[in-house]
Amino acid sequence: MATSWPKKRRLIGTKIQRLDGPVKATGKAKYSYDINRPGMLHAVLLRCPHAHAKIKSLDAADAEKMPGVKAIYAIKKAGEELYWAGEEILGLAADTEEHALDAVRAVKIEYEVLPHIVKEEDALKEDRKTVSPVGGKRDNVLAAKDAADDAFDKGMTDAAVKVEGSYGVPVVCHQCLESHGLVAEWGEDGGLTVWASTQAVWGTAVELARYFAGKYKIDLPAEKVKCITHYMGGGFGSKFGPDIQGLVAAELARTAKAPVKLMLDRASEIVAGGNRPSAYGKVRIGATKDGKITAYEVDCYGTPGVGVTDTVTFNALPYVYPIAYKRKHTRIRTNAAMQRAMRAPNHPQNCTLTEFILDDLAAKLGMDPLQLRLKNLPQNDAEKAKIAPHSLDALKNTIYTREIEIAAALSKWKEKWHPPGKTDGVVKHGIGMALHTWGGQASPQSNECTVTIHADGSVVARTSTQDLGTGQRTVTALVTAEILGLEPGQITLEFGESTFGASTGSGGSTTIPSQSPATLRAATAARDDLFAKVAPKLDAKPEDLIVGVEGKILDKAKNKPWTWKEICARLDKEQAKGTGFWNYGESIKPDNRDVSSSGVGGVQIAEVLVDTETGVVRCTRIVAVQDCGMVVNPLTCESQVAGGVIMGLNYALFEERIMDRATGRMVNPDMEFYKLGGIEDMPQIVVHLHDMPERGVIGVGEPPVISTHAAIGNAIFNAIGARVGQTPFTPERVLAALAAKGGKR
Amino acid sequence: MKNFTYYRPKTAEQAVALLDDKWGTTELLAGGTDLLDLQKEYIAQPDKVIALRDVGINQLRLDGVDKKPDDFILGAGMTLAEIAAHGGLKEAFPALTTAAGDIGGPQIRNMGTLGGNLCQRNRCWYFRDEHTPCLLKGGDKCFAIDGENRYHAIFTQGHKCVIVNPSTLAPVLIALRATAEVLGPKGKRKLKLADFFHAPSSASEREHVLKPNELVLTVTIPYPKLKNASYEVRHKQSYDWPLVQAAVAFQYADNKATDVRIVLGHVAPTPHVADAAAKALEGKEVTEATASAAGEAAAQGAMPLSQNAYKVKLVSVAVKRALLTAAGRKKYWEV
Amino acid sequence: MANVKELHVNGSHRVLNSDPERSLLSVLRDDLDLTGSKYGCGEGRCGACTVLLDGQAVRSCSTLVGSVGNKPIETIEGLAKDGKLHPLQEAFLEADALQCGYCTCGMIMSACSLLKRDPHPSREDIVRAMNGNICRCGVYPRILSAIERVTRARKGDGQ
Repeated sequence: MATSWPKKRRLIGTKIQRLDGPVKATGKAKYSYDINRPGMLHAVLLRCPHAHAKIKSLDAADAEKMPGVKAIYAIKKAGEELYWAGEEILGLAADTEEHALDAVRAVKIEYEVLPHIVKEEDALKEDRKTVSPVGGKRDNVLAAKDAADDAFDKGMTDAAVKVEGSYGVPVVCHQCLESHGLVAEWGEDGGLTVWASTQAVWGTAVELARYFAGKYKIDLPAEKVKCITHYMGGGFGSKFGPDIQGLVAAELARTAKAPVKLMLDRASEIVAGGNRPSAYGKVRIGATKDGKITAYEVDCYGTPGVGVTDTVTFNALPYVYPIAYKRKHTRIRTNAAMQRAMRAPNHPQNCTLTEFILDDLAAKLGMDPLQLRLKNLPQNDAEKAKIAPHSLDALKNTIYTREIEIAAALSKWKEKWHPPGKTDGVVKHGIGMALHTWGGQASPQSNECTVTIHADGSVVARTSTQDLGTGQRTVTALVTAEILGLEPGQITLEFGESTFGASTGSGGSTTIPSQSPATLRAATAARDDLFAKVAPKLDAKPEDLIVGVEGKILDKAKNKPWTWKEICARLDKEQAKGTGFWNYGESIKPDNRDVSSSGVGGVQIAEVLVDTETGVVRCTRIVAVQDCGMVVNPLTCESQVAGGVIMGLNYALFEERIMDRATGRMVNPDMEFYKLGGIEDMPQIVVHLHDMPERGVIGVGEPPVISTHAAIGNAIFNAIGARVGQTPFTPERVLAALAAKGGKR
Repeated sequence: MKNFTYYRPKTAEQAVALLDDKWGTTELLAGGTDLLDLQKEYIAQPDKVIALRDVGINQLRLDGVDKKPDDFILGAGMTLAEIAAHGGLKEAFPALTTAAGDIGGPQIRNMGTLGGNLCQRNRCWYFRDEHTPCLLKGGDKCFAIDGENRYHAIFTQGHKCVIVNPSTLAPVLIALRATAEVLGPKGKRKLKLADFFHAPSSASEREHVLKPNELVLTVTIPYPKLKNASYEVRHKQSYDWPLVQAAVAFQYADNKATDVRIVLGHVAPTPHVADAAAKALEGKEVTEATASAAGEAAAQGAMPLSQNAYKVKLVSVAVKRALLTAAGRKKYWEV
Repeated sequence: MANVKELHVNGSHRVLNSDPERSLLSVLRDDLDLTGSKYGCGEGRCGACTVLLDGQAVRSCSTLVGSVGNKPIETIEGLAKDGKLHPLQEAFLEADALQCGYCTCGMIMSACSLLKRDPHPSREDIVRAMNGNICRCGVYPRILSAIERVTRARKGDGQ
């Protein structure tokens, strides 16, 4: 049967307060870090202090005798190599955290310190290219990927105006405020329960079950492993699966026969808890005199740490704009923690390598960069429009053009934009823009939801998915209430436990487009089940019962209204129940089109004040226009967008992982010199949701983070007429750009 | 952190009696915003921690401005928030209250004290890393000199360790010619704030000249009605250390600045007295031109490291802006 | 110094037995089950552990429990009275001034300290008072507007 959203929507699209707000604002919400179990032990991890070393010997005998020590689990053994400063060697559990911290320092390890490389530019030096950071035969500079469009050569040759520049973004860290970690406890039945700070509740349980069943040949079906994540303090892409600390905590709990808490301390969180890889590139662009871009060339590199993955989305360079291209990307392996998915992985890097040079080109052409963008937007795809008229491909030009118009109006672009550097005074105003895109479709694997209606009128919506602060919990209740004619607060949520059915990790902005349709289906099925069960008792036909206004159920044949309670009371000892699932496959069935969808465009415009004597940049205002399909809850959706913008602002102005060449260690694994903006650093943020309900639900958690730094970078260029090509835009870099320009004010 | 014993003596004398005569085994605890961090990171591993909260030095002692109009005496236990909010101090020493009000965040200002601010350890990231054996932890080299040094000293002459002194009250107090009263086993002694600081280069030295068994009781600021101001250039506007700070104080009569004192913060292992800058302004009217010239003079002699030459320019700007602020000139940099 | 046997928390005397050398944060969280105050950075940078000591916002992670004495401690758990949320809590919900919620309790306690000191703060005062709290989800503008809601309402009351 076809699935579709109600034509008339009472709650969807209205601002509903976060249902878990009260427990969060009163301190009652229990995060993983807050779980204290009877007899619980505290565990810490011993980490390698060197960027590359071999363990010559490892002796934990003294540590074992330290006060309070209950269990030790060796991750690495003598003879093994370690590839980054912070790599986990051993886990230790003791009765108190203080004892664990003292005891772990009593482990005796001898290292053979090996050569390391922690800076991308060092790896690129000819004589260092063969120094492998991770042993084996692998080169540290992996063979470059390259590709070119047939039209590139002609496009570049024919270009009347050419511009080139170097741009880059460093490695930055997720810095979740609640660190990674969990409490693990084995039950008497041989089952395992974990209270994990994760963005993949169901997946964490499945992985733990698989690991322990396989390793110890025990009967541990997935149902006997329970992952509970009622509240969690941020993930941003870094918290999928049990992770090494999850496995170690469960191992220690198994050995000690006691619950074990293992939460990372701040330094570990930053060093090991995830990072966004760097990207630095030389970019060249050619255009006609009237601003039609004819060719784009990029040669870029970045480091995924000890990993091997790309640090850009290779096939999306240039970003957003369809231009004849030539692209090259080199991955550099360094002795640092492997990159993890971070809010719109690789898109900010692509945005960097595309959006900055557009403004440099506009300046050379003497054009308004907004007009340059309008001129080079992708066209609507007429073929795609035939199959999927509401898809981004079908609507790209329409959506971006409209968003640019809205953003321009909200930012007063026409009045505020001026040719780059053409303002008086020591503190200069600038305005700049950038575009982005993202997917946000339903997950390939299924998400499930179950809605149960009881005779007392209570309704339970049950799903294992997680709420990272996105507002998913509220959305589940909101959709259920919409279908049943109730208020969101009337829905009891059973949420964030792996035993509540299948769900997928919150990555790729897939949660809301997977969960909302599953909830829609579950609530609809529960409603139908309710009507089928009570209709005979009401002397009505099930098909005549409809959800009416003001929480009434209407028998439309008799035009008789019933209250919800009256209806449910007829269930007597029964329950009405419905389950629903959703996935990408469901979403593209012709019957289900426009329930959930994929592909968003967004436009951001930033304003800055640049103090040209000190180089200090203050961002004063950001307008974010975000396409997001059907907005379920504008209140939490706006929060997501504003939050993305702030993360993007931090990326622009403050954040940078700083590695020390000599020690191979990160020098700023803290919140002191790993800078995160506070309230005084914040601009006014104007969020405009480009609501297109006809497109269905699309995830929006990631896209708002992508283009903020580029908009700010372009605003700085507009202010001072000089390009600061690398983030963070520190006073030092701004002063250097001004000096390079010749000190003109 | 390593196990330690916590003491809460009732008097300063009792506190001093508990202190060892060598560094490392005993530590004084005032607001706790620095020491506890150092302990958590296993940088400081004292056996005894002696809390100063009960020793009765947390009052500002004005001793009546009417009776002794020449001196403001501040107890070393005064919190940064108390200093920042004190009306009398605000009027007389805006440099001090501005600097105090810009330290850390509000919670830090509610906890941190004047004495703690003067005696805190430096923020060098190599010093603060348990696994990096730098000079100040008994190692044989300073890792910043050839390493990551964007926030380190630019006046590096003669220094084996290139930290910057983190106190932002110190440059102000030196500019204001303040004096500290210190208690040791042999009793009290007085020393000028200008003589208070020291550039350490080993584990047996601190960023100041106090002996391991001395503590600061009070800071006395003379009150000769100097124009004064402090200006910080900061990367972040919220909770951040300054990149550079300039504190200035001078007599200003008939549009002439005399008795000029200019002291820089966050540019050297100790607060850096910029005599050349003071001399450049001496006897002149404070204008953008003269302030600028003083700023240029303040940067003279800087020997920046590989990554912090930008701070040289910031010194000039900070001095210029501090002078213009003190003289009540238009703040052209505010829009 | 002897063990700490009693703390004055949220208007009541709580009996415990703790070494004076432990942090106030860990005693609140692990001994008294007051887990609203969070461990964020453990080094006085993020503000998630903010509590009021004698009415003033402090970092409980950098406060030794032995130094507290009989000073009153207020934590987030003590703000709502008789099941009624504190106006700041209400305002945070109305403005959606929270996402993951991990920083929220510290934010509210910092704001609470400000309003105790100054019932009618200017926007600049609010910003300065909130400068010691980090939010990684990025709700600062809404936190500002939440606190302004409370101060506006107070002005409306003629207080």
